Amino acid sequence: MTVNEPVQELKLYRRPMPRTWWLRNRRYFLYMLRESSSIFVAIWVILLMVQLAQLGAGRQAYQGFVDGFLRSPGAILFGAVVLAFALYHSITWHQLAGVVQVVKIGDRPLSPRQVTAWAFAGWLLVSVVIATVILVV
Amino acid sequence: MHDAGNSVKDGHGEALWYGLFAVGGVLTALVVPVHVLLNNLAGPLGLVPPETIGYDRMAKLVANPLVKLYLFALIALALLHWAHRFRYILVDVGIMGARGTIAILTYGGALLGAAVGAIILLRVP
Repeated sequence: MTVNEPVQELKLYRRPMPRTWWLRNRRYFLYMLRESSSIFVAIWVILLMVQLAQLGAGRQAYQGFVDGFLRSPGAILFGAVVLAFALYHSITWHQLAGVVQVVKIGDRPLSPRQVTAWAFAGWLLVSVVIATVILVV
Repeated sequence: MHDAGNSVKDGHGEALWYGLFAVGGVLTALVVPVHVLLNNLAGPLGLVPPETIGYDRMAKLVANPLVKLYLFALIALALLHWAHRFRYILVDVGIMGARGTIAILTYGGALLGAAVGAIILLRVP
């Protein structure tokens, strides 16, 4: 596989593009917002790892993390921001699923709208199951 | 097998990284909102019983090997999903010169994070 290599050697003209091109219109901005959601989710994952590490360190360490960090206004505000980005990722991902994923029932493919509707239904079901495990089981 | 660095640079590993990105996208889309809602908002604000995020409940849940496996998958795939998107965010804002380095730092960072996550989970009794 050397298909991509010669391109690197050629001196191609590259039209200069300002770093802020994505601020130019709403679509570009929403695209960047969608891609950026992964940054917030990743920071949340790292905080979850800290929480799990405190859990491993014992009752006192864990309770300290909950009272000192999780319950602080800053952490709750951060949680709200992460939730907004996570929801934006979920919604755009399920919408895209309808476009890129062909699902056939028998030999008739579902329409993008139907695939997206099933994706949203699956999301709701998974959320209810997880909430039930965390709250009840 | 190529070593990871070269395969990232040559684009040989592209399908693998894209696959991990996609699986990570599906998993995070399905499960992250409910976790953030309960763990970071409803729990701390007391909208659900406070013991929901308390030590006993968490320790009991994470003691289950299946929960550990699930959390490992969530940590690893969410980070690999981030790595792929962040790699192209950097390219999108015009950091073109260091493509190979960016790929190694993002995917490498995600793999390192996944390894740390595994160690942390194994240390929870």
